[in-house]
Amino acid sequence: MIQVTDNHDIVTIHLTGRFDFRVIKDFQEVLGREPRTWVVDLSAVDYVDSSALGMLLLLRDRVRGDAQRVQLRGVHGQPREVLVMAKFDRLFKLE
Amino acid sequence: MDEPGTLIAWIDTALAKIITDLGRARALLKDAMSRLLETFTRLRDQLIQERVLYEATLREVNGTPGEAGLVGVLRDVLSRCVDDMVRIGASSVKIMMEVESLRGHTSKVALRGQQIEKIASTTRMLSLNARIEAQRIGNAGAVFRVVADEIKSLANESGELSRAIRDALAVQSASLAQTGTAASELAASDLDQAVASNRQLDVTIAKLAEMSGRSLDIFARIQAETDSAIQALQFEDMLTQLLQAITDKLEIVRTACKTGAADKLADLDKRIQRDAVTQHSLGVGTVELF
Repeated sequence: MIQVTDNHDIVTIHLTGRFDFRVIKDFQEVLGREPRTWVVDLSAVDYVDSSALGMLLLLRDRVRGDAQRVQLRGVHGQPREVLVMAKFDRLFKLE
Repeated sequence: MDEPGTLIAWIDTALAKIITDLGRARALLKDAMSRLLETFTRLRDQLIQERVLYEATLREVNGTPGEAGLVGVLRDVLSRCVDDMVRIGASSVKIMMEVESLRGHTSKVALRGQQIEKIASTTRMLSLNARIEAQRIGNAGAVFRVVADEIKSLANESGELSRAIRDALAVQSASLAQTGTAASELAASDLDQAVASNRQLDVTIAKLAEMSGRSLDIFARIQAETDSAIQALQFEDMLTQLLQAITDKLEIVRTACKTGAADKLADLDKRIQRDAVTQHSLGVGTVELF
């Protein structure tokens, strides 16, 4: 499930449960916004699959690879293991 | 044995027997020590070869600064596998998003088609009314009747065309839905197995490091023990010389008994008291050669 907080300069995407292919449509809609900074809150996420990584890569394309403009917050458990194994800690700020 | 001569003769015979036994003991000891030394030396050489092989195997597994070993190759394969899964995931997500956009466009086109069908239906009604009106005014309305018929015909064609488009769109929509489903299946790769493999690899590497450390330690200890045994066996010369010295001293006693040279006892005693080997253990010592 996706919830979005938009403070003009910062858009925070709050995800809950499984971050997988089922949220692609909602994620696509959020990508239509143009904030300076994106925050993806994964503190309530306990599972990610490869499509989640794909969505994060699209978000990275959206900011033209500027790692400072995308923050992944509350990364823990399985999502952290997957992100680190896929070397996403080199592409994003993991908090 | 009541005569001193008989006793001396017996002592001489006994000493001769003891000297012979000592000679046999010396020969047996020399042979046994020689074989042991040979065996331990072969064992040590074997051990060195085993260790060289073991270390080469470890290098093959762990790799060297210039070359990746089995562990490195496995990590590389796993990493490439994960990279591919992520790439496929990203591409599939893009496809799903494109499919979603196309489905949106298809819906809009279908809506337009419905509007066209509605217009065609209305046009048909109007042409029918026009025909009725043209009929009512008689010959003067003949031209209008022809036009009304043409309009009706156009409206029918337009309606049929619109229905054909709607059917085509329905097929396209179903096809897009299938593409979306296929893309979602591609996108949704479970990475847990890769995470588990990575974790298992870490555990295996740690175990391997611990086991190889212990094995190298055992190798070193066995080698030290073997070296110590070889060093001890190398004192065989000292033992045979000691036995030879005992034999010589017994010969002195024998000679003294036979000759009864009481005036030479002090000199003979000096020779007996001399130590052939100065040490009492298998550490470093000196051997006094006769």
